[in-house]
Amino acid sequence: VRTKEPNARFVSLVRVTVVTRKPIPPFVGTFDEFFDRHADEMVSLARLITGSVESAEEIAQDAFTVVYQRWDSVRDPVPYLRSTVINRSRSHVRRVVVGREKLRSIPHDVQEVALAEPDLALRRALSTLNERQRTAVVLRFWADWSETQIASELGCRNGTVKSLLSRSLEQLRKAVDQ
Amino acid sequence: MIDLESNLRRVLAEDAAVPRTFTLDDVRNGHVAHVADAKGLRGRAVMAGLAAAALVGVGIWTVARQGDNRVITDASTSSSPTTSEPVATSSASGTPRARFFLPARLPEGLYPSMASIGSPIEDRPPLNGTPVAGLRELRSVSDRSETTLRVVTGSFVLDDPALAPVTIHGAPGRADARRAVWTEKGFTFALLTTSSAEFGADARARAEAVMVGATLESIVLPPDGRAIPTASPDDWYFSASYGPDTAGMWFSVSSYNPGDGLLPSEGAVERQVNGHQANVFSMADRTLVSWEIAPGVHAVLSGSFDAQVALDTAAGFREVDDAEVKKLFGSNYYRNDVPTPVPAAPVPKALIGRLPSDREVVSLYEMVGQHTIGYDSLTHDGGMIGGSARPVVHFQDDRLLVAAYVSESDDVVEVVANDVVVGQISGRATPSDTLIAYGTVKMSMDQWATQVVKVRLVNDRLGTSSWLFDLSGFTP
Repeated sequence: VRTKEPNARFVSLVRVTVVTRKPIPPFVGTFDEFFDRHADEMVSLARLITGSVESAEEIAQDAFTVVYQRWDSVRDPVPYLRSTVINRSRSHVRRVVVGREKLRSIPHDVQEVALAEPDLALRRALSTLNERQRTAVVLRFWADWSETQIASELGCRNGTVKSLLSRSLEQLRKAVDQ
Repeated sequence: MIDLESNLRRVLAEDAAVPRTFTLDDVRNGHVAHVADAKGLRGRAVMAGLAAAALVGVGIWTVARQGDNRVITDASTSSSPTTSEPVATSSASGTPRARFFLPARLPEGLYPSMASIGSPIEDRPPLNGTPVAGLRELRSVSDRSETTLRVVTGSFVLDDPALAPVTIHGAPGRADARRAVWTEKGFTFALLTTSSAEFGADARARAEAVMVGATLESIVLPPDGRAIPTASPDDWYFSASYGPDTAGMWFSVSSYNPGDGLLPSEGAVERQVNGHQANVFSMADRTLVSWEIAPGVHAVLSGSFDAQVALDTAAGFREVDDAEVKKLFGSNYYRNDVPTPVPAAPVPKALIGRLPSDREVVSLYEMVGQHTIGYDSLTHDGGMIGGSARPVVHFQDDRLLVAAYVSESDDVVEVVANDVVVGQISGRATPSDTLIAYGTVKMSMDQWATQVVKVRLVNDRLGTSSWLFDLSGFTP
């Protein structure tokens, strides 16, 4: 990691940090070691994207199963695993949205529950983000991924990620302030 | 922005701290929980009315346990669901069984994997490194499409006691396993679940009904045919449920034993069902009938269904016609040639208390939605037994329903209104030897609205008391 300071005159105004990451070498080890090292992380990642502990477990386990089946053929299992978890989590969220929209059309008598929980507003606001926004937010603010990494994962440009995060934060802020 | 971002990081970090329950062995044995894609289900299901949010489907759980030296044959014959032919039968010699028929009106295509019934698991990774000759899959059905449904059915038998319990998808504690019922002592279980958890708590009651059907009576014979150790009759499960749809079907069968009984409301009466003692309960909008299908084993039917039913008799299975069913089950039974509106599955007006940890509230919210699908989730075997250990409350029809796992047989859950105990619910054992306190406390809307209602767990013997819920401030 290398940090480059810009012209000193502008340091007080803006701090530019250029981060270059060394390529991470492919994982070397047994599947057991691989599992031990990444299992909890993958459950957490899926949980944050899906919002569901149970689904996260299932997604993570399924992802490991997929990697396990292809252990001999996958060159670097870590990014493969992460992408699998992220993609499946996003699919899960999309399914949930579809389900909610369909069920919303059913007239039913449900009353909202007021919960006196300080972070509830933020958590609820998080759940209103679409899967793309939510994934970006989780990768940025939990996994500490760079915008470049997120862009690579989501298959978009850096600027798109920047915009995605900005809009997401704005949406969260509005929801929390309400 | 800084506050928001820091809060966001903190909340994400808190939420990320979730326990992982699956293990490396589970991953290696991932195929045990084989889920077969249901080709084309999505389109058909959507066409069948899912897009219109019609709650169409049939869900069946079956958990069967073999008895002593019983010759139990592989179940599972299937036929078109559009007919009234049985979709699953068993021919257990000398073992009374009930047999159920799927309604004839269910849209074609909602049974995508009937053909998979009876397909054995082959070339599966061994469990714990040990080949499992007795592992057999009866069926596996799933819609993994982008529809709202995800239905998984499966039943397996393990002929080696040392291998049970085995973790599978849909096993208790997993996302789509809340409805699963199994016997830890037994080696056969079957389940059908939905991903209703995905729908959000406010829709769970309806999601509950969105189940696509499979079969009933999964009885398995280990390939080598040797006897399987016997558990007590109380472990014998028999469970199934049909969900209601817009056409007005409701049909439910569940396990029953005295210790894990339904909520017997006032005026339970007794009747005879084909010579078996039957108990009829009025509960909510339906009548529940239980009867003994084997010594110590009861099946439970809820009224208001539209399915043909066959009951076992000494001479074997016998289909029961409408008139007889009406006679047996009472006036709540009706058969819908013309779709008749049936009250939808109760939608929970979820009333959720605080858990000790704020972080848990959201997950509690999810859980409550999943478990408070009217009374059924709790009174039938699926909800609590296979579910979370967290307590649940649910207010409906002037009753506060409380359910909580307890650790002592003499634990009591008390409902307190304005510091006065208005109801006590004792813990009782479930078939899986879990202690659950669940029951209802009558409470008027006025009482609810004007008084401070709390729920606590007390044990006089131990002199302990702890609050489970503080429901003040929540309105039904």
